[in-house]
Amino acid sequence: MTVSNIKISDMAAYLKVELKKLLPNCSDLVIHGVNSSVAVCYISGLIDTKVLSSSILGVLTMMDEDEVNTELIRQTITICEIEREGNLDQVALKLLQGHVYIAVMDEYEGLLCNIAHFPTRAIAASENETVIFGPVLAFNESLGENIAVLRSYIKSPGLVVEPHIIGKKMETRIQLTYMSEYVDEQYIKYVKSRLEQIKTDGLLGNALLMQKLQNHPYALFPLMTLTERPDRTIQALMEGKIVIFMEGDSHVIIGPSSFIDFFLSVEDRYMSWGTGLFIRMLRFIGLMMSVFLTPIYVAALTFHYQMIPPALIVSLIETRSKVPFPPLLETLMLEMTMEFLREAGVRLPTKVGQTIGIVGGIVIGQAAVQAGFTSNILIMLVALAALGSFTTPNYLMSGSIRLIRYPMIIMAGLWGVLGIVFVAMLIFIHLLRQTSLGRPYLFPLFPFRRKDLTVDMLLTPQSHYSYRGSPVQNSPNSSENDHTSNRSSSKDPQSDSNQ
Amino acid sequence: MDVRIKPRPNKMIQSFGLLFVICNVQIGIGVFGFQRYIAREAGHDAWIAVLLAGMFCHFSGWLIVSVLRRYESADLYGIHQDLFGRWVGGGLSILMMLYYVIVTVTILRTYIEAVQSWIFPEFPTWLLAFVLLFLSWYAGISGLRVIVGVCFIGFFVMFAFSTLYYNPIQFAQWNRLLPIGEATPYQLFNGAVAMGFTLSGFEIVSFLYPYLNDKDKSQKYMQISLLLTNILYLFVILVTTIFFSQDQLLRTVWSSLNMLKIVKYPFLERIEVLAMGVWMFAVVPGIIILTWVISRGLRRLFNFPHKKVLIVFSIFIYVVTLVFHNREQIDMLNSLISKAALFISFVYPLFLYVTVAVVWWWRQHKPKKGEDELA
Amino acid sequence: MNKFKVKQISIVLMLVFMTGCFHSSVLERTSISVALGYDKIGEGKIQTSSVLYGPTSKEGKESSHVISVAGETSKGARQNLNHKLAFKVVSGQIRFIAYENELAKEGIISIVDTLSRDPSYGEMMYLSVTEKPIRDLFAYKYPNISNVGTYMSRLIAHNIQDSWVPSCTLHNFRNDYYSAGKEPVLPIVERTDKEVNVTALALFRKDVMIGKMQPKEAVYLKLLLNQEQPDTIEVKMPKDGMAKYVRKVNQPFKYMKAALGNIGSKSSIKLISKDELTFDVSIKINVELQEITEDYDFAEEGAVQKLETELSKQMSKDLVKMLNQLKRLNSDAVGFGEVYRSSVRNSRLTKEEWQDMFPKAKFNTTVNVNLIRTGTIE
Repeated sequence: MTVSNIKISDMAAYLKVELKKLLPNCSDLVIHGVNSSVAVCYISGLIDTKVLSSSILGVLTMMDEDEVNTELIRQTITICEIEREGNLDQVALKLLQGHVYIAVMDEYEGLLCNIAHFPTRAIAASENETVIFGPVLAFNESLGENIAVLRSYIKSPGLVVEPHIIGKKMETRIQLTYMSEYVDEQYIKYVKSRLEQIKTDGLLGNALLMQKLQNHPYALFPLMTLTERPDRTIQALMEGKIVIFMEGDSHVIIGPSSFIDFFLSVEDRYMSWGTGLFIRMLRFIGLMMSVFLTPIYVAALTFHYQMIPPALIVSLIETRSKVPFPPLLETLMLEMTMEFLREAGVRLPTKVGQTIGIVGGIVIGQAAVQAGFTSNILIMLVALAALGSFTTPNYLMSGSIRLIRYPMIIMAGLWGVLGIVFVAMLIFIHLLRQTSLGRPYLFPLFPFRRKDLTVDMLLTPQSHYSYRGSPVQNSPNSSENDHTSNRSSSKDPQSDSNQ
Repeated sequence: MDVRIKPRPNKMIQSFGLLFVICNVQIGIGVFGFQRYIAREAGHDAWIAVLLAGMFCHFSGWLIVSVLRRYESADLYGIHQDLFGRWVGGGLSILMMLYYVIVTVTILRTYIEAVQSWIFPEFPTWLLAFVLLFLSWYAGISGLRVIVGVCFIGFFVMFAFSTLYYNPIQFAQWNRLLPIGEATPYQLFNGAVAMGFTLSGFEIVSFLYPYLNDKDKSQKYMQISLLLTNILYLFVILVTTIFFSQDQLLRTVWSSLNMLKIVKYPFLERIEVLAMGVWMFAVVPGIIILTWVISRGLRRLFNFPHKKVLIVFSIFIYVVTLVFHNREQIDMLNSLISKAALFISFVYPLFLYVTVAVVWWWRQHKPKKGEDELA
Repeated sequence: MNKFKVKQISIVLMLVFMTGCFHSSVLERTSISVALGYDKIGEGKIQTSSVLYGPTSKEGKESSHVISVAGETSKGARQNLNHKLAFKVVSGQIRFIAYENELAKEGIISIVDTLSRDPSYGEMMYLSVTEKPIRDLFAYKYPNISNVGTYMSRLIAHNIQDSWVPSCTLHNFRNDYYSAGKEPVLPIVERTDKEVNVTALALFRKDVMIGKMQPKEAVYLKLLLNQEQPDTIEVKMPKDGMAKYVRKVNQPFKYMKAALGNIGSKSSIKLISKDELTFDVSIKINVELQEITEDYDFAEEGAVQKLETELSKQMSKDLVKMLNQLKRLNSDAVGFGEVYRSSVRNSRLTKEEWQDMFPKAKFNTTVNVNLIRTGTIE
């Protein structure tokens, strides 16, 4: 089914018939006959109309109807990406990607010009990952622009940008980027093998891709970082990590990540060494508080009254004596209230959301105490725990941390200290089992690397200014505990002594 | 069964990891109440007995690693087979495994007993045993690296908690240590023997050895970990001696916990309740390692798959644990196991060392036969 | 595999939830006892009084109520407490325990050991002795004390910190009781009208109270124990030697008194003769003068030195007096036996042996007072 098989007088009319067969429900398909022998078709909205009118239509209308041929057009039109195409099936696909098809009467092949212009928003300040200083720029949904931003920071030819296509129907473009001289080969191998295994119609957004890339579907914690900040991305690249961009998503995936990475913010580097370290410690304390504070309250009040010092016990008895519920129920209710407030604040428009937070916090808190619903001390503890969880710079991680608090509270209410330790240990073993792109999730902590730990956590002055202070490459013994070995250990336990 | 194992590199651990594993196996639950057994023998010179036992420990550890080094990459099960043949060696291995089963049960029971007498008198034994075995199973199926990771946190918990023993020093009466060396050598030796059970467990290295990455550093880390354990025990026994008067100590079952009772903070009192719970972090790694050793042995001897064995074995240990009811039975178990532990940790390595030396010498002088056996 | 695991884990959690509920002691659903007292009522009968946290008033002021029950054993009496209370009595917050003097004179170790056997009691509870029934001490409505139980523990803690009361926790008592060469001491507390007081020290032989020691001597005991040091020491000495430095005779007494602030003291006890059982007892003390009853001329040459020697002499005398009292009662509260045991090789000292030996002990005492300051005026 090629153009030249049938002799017809009007190119536009012919294309209308043929293309409608291929794209029957495509009402935004435009077929425009320049004259009787030349026709232009495109899908409105996907192309840059300015370029179309000035560089294509402008040139075509100037041409003489009888002399026109594709070679001539090709030479005259001032567009860089032009190719010949005779297959209308291919043409239809390309039209959907924002190409313009120029067909000429009596010619076997037409021309496909890429003047795609997808709707995007401008590059703007980051809204969800805010910092006080440092670049405020955030990525947007355009893959090309994002890569351009990246290149504007890293001019090295060592920056590798590898295109891949994901999804049979959606055909999303993704770009695998890394610094070729810093990155560890096995991470690339891991990512590529994972990408090949993905069988799906399409993935909307990098968050879904991230879940597909990790091999622990029941992982409680995010195993890779999502960010929309170029500075964080560049820092990761310079540390030898892999970054995945996706068409249509302003967030990029950074991997491998370890548990500690989620508690570090790029901003820490922008501050002086001492301040940076202090803030990291603060976040660590925040983490501990948000996980353990309320469970300890429940355990102490339900079982271990002897642990409460005399100065506290009087006020505890006083406030608790009015509360009709056991500490476990009281705490769960208050924690849930906190979660409701947070969720409501997120769902509502920004201005209303802020008000809800204040109103909810003050009104509910005050009223709950006055009504004898909860004790003052618990309100304070729950608020502290919530604040602690908000200090985590990563949204996904802070969600996970809030989640693990609930089993801990419940177990504390059932078994006291033993329950807390049991859940803590379960979570710890869970963390130990996880790997991120094949690297153990608790990386600098376990397997223990003193150098990486001091560089990552303590941010020593020497490492403060050099990104390569912490090489992600690790010795062979620490890194290969990846999905293949994990899986094989379950499948073929024979392997190690049968050789 | 091959004498030598060659695990794939991704299953290997660093020798550095020995530090955590050995310390965990050695310390565990014993540290709660070992003092009075030594004080009963050696009085206020108990610390000398501990020092003495520690020296034996270093020597024995050196012997074990030396034997393992001869065999490049074999575990004790393999060595048994090499030295004593399939049947006798296998029998010895099974005896060894049985011993570890009893040790596991002892650890479990002792910890449960401690929890019940200190914080939850009504906590059902079966439930706590289940929880502990569940944790050890969950870590055990994930491979050696996760096991070492769990040991790592146990190690940190133990050494963090030992800093709490700074507080009893404030109540110290230093002249309790005087006169130094009053105990007779015989008493000191008895004390060291009593300490033997508490210190035992380091022979575990002979099962881990093939999995070590940098085997040339194994001796170094083995000795460092033994040193750390010895320092910790020495510290605890010194603090105990200056904190308790002798008769008082002999009457105290869990002296280490009793010493924590005096720790006070403005926001927290009675640390022993917390310590009892958090000590789970130190107890579970010991159980994990022992169950791992047992299931490894079953795999090596009978080729049972590791994961299935682990769950079956956990259930077995669980049932055995529930058989023991009261303090008397636990004490009986403890005294029974303490003799076996002494033998396995201190006497057997010496025996093995001599045997290996003799057998290898013999093989070198009859090269033909030796090669056959090794092949 | 993963699905399998998740299923298993959820089954485990279910099991845990179903079986996890056992007896709890929720804070407000327990009767928290803060102080206990044991009185002797008749042969073999003990009355136990307990101070409990009471319902708090509107102003948030802590209150208490007191309950007394009788029983054959201390534990039995405590069990009977439950008959009078809406919630179960728990003992993990007890910080003060008192024994009536009658009981202390018969021996209290069985009650003390009971406390230590039960892990819910703390080791840092203060023990003390009262001369009158404890019920009277606890149940009196003090106008300025809202909870007598917590007040008592604070009172004793403060006196241990700053004054002449030696540390008297449960641990200390058992520690001394079970050591061969030292006897326990406990403070004696009294209610005097609307206040409670620490009046003296009770001296023990083993677990039997055998005598009292007045604060004046107790200061020296505390100095020898090398614990927290008493803040002030009062010395009453003859005026004779210092008469020439006294500018104007204020008072017609033969004695003058000085109050000394203790800045730091060090005591040492050495066994110098094993056979004659002679101990060298020396105290080195740095003091500042806080009060002196005469108009003493410090500017004069040698005045300060003279005062120092006089103080030393007097304190040494007082020290000997205290030691003689201990010897007379045969209660080695200082721990000379421990010094003996630790300096004599292979002594294998037992408590009984030491009780025979202690009255024969001789002491060489030296007190070395070093007057650092005389205050801000001369």
